Amino acid sequence: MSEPLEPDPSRERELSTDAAEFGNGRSDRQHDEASELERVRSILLGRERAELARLEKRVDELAPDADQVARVLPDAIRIESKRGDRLARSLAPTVEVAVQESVRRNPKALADAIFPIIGPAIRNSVEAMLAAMVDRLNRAVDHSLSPRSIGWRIEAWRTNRSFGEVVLLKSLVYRVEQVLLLRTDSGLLVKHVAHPAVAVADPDLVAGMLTAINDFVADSFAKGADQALEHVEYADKTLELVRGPRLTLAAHVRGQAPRELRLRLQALLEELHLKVAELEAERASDETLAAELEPALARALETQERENAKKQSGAMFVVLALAGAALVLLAVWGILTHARRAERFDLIANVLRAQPGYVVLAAERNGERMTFEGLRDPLAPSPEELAQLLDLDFSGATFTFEPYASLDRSLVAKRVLQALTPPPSVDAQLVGDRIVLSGQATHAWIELANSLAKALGAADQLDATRLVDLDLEALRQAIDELPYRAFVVSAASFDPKAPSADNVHGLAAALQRVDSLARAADRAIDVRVVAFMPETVGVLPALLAKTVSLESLLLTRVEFVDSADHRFVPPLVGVRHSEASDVHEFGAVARFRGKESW
Amino acid sequence: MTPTRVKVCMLGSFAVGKTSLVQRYVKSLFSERYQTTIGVQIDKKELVIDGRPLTIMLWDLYGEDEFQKLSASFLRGAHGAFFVADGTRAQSVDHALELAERFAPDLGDGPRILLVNKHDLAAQWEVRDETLARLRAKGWLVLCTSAKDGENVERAFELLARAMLERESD
Repeated sequence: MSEPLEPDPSRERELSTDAAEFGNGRSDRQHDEASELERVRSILLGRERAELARLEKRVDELAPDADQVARVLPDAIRIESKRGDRLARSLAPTVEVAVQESVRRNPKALADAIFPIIGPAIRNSVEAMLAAMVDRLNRAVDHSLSPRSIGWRIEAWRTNRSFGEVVLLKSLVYRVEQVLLLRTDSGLLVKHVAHPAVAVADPDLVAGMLTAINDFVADSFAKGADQALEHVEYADKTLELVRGPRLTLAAHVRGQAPRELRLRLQALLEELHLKVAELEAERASDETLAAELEPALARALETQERENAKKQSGAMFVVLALAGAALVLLAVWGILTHARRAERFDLIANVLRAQPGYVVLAAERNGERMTFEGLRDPLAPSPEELAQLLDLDFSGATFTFEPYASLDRSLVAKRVLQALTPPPSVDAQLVGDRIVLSGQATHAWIELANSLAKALGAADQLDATRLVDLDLEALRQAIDELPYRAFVVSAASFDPKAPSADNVHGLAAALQRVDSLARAADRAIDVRVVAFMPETVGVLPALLAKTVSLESLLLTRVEFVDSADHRFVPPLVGVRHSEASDVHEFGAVARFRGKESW
Repeated sequence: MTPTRVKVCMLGSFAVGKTSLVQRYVKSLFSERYQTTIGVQIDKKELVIDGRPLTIMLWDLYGEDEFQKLSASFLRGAHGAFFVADGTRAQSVDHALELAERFAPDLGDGPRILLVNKHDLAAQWEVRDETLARLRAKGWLVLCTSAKDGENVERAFELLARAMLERESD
């Protein structure tokens, strides 16, 4: 172990340095002592010190250095990864924590990093989903409207099966619904894939039971020979079993599986055998094995539709699409027509309800036909007139209205006007709900008009103020023409037959005319006879009794006014007074009873 | 490589309570009729061992009697086995051991556990402790179980699972 003693270069350097610095005062002396000590140490321990330095250097080299580790780490990882998944398993928890931490600190960095993967993945997923949806939609349209599908529905109902089952049965030649890959010896499941629309039982248990049944059949019938079940049929389904030395493939098929399917399954099983052998040589885990085999197994989930069904479905889809479009248009047209009819019906009903002289008791609509029932005043315009008047379309409507008399003011006025039958001298106009009469008419007709209006409840609607009452006018005129000339009559000598009595006769005739006119004009008049007779007051009654029948003039009062006190009863018009004692003035005043006077 | 699915067979005499022992602990899809018709009922037990999931496919074989003998083909590919005996029938232990010996070539060196069932019926217990001690001394892992109260059932599954995983990862 000992090394030969050799001159130490560092020691020689120290010696020469010591010699050069020798003799430089106190500090030099101290320095000399230290150097001396060092020199002695070198002489005594020189070899051990060199050994120590070498070992230190070695230790430094052996200690892990970041640089060194960094240099070997990539290769180390690559080599270890090839050996198996031990490194991955060791790193998994650390990587998980690192990813979590990274997301927590800065989610954007990771999001940016996986964006290029996520985008296509989402697109693929959406595309697949849309494709499946379109496919389902096509099938739904194809199978829901065609006459063929109606037949299938009847069959489903008759055979107590679901419609979907019948559709599959009729439109598919076959469909591989699920595939199980299992280990031939243990029956343990390696991987299971199934059509998305198929409900599956626990594949682990199914795989086990399949193997058990296979064993059972082999034991019971093949007496242990290396034979096994290949084909199991039940209802419209079959189970195709393809057996290899290590793996068995079981395909559950709906429909009539062709012989070629079995050959394809056989080829697939061979491919899987190779793949499994490779993966197991690499000591791949069961999960890896399952993931690696899935695409190949999924390929086996094949479906074959009936050719004619396929072809028909394309043409049928177009036909059905057109029919669908037509149906949609028809539906839109129907909805619009319905809305338009409903709108027209409401309009007619509202017009009738708002129209004076109409009472709508029932309004019904059945498709295009409309019926309205109720009451109508014959004076109100008929529905046809209304339609023309308001420019409306009443076609398709049936009106059943019983007649009645409306109390609406406009119709009442109309009714009064119709009943009046005015003479040619009278002009009768309907102004709003008022009847305006103008022209000339006899008093009797005017009275009739008033009575009629009153009887029909339209007294306040008849305006006769512009109508001239012919009888009243004649009466006025007759009264105007009454003689107011004074004449003297001597009671004693009065001879009705004498020419002097003409005045009295004239007055009487005039009064009689007034009387008859007053009757015609339905006017009561007072006739006041005033006589001034100083000698006697008993003359006049005798006179009058002899000359005219004053009772027939509706004489209500005769006042004799004594000339001495000059008492007059107002209003007293047309009285002539004479101072001559023998002259008696006689005048007559007629006046209307009532407010009027002249 | 550590497997995620293993096959375990359960064997024993007729009426030792094999099916009753596990039926509360497993997922079944098929009825017990299968056991009497084709001779086996398959159940599934899912476990988590050291954080890793493990599916045990349990092949519950019919109880062998003088008329019906077990078929070795059901044992093919098994990773382990439970031999079940009835503690109130000492003879059933012997039969279990006889089965273990007869099917040793089919089971290979997979781990096996002897379950002496009906431990709840202590008064009628026939199997002596010395017998069990002797078996343990011979290398058998023996557990006294009860289908009635579930004694040691979960433990039996776990022990067998660990033993199988240990063997498979070697």
